[in-house]
Amino acid sequence: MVEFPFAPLRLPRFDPVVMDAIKILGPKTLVASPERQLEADSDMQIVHRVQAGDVAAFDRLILKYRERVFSIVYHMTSNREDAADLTQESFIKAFQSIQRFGGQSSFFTWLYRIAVNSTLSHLRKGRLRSFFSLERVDSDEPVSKEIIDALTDKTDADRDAFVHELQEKLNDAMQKLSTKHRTVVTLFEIEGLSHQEIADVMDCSVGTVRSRLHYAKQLLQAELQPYTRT
Amino acid sequence: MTLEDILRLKRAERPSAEFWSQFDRELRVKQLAALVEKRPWWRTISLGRILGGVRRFHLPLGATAVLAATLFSVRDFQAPKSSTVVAPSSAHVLQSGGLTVASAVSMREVLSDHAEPALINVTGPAPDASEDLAPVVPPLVLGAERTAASTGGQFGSMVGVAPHADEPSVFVSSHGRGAVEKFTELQSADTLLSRRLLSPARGFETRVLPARSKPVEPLAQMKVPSGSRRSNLIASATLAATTVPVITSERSARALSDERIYDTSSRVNARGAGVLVKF
Repeated sequence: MVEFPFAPLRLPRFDPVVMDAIKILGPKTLVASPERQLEADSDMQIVHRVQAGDVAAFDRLILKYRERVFSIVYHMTSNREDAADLTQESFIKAFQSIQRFGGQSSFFTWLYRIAVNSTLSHLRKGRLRSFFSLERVDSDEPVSKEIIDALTDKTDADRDAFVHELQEKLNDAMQKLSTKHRTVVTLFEIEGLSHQEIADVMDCSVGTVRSRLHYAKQLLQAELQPYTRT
Repeated sequence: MTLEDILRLKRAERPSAEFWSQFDRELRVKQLAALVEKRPWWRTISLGRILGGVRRFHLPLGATAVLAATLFSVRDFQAPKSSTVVAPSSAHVLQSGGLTVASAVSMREVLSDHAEPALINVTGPAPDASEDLAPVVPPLVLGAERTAASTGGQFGSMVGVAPHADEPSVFVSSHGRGAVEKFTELQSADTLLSRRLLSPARGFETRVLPARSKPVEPLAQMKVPSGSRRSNLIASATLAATTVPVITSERSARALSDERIYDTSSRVNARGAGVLVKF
């Protein structure tokens, strides 16, 4: 990536999303796995460098987390353009507010929080594009290949059409969920966050996360009944 | 195949490499725009900076606040003192500082038995008299005089300066006149103090100021135009009624006998402003 020639502004930006993230995550100490802890420590070193004026170090954070942030936003909005805009906006907010990030939580939790809040605010304003766009499924990935093979016993041409149809059905079912249920499903089933991490990101209890997850799965099960085989 | 497996399929949805290159370009542009954009002034306000600035100037600000409070309190304290010197006639009396006050305090001994305040106008050349006063008046008395000068209420009650502007600022009562007489007697007495301090040769004089009438509001003195028109009409009507030809009145007077005139006048009983007619 191109080296970033300018120093970040030291003046804090009072963005409600960021303030909310700081307010929520400030006094808490997240319980993280050892891998997550190592990752968080590594991120914190980069954050310290950015705070010291090494702006190019922030590009490493962008490269590291852009796909994950984009994935969350994309599965919440089901629109690629919206997801791209919101992901960029989240990174800019984090970049502008990184001077106020004190490390009370891991950087990725803080960044997730900003992204989720931005997306929820965007969804609340009803600025969704009327059409949904689908990303191409990477059929070379072992998990997806295994799933696709299990779901279909057809030729390659028919398989592509079937996967496209399944994607549409999944998107439809996800969009029938409320934003909170959709967020829980996205963070747990797709991003692989733990209940505690989701509770921290969404500022709710673990029981609430579990309840929402159970309810959302029931709805999705009903919607995707023809595709589920036991 | 479970629902979780199907949902896991969504993890495989990934944008292409072209998408990420475009994403990076757009993000760079937005970052630059965010850096160079002119922020609103309320976003540039930092609470920490404000508190830091206040903390830096904590001592000068506190000193300034104390000084301002002191000035205000001193000004408020002096305000009633200046209001006691409202009367123009007594203003030049009070302007001669220590000497006038010294005379007033010396008069307090004379006037102490009078309940009502009296006006005594004491004037004199301040500088010379104050110089002469120094060896005569003991320091204790001078201290008392300064105290009396600082307490405008005592001086006002002694000299008779009214505290309110709407009241007559200078007035003379019977007790005041008595005090003046006593003061004149004291002055005429052969005492060292009266000879050296209160003699007319040194510029002292005692006189009773005339009582002043209440000030009249300028608006109350204005005449209403309708009133002037009414007075003009009444004047013309009265003139027409009273202008009897002289010849006619003389002729009538001659025609009337004395008895008839007496009878007529006895029937018309004129008293004061009213006329009583008997039939």
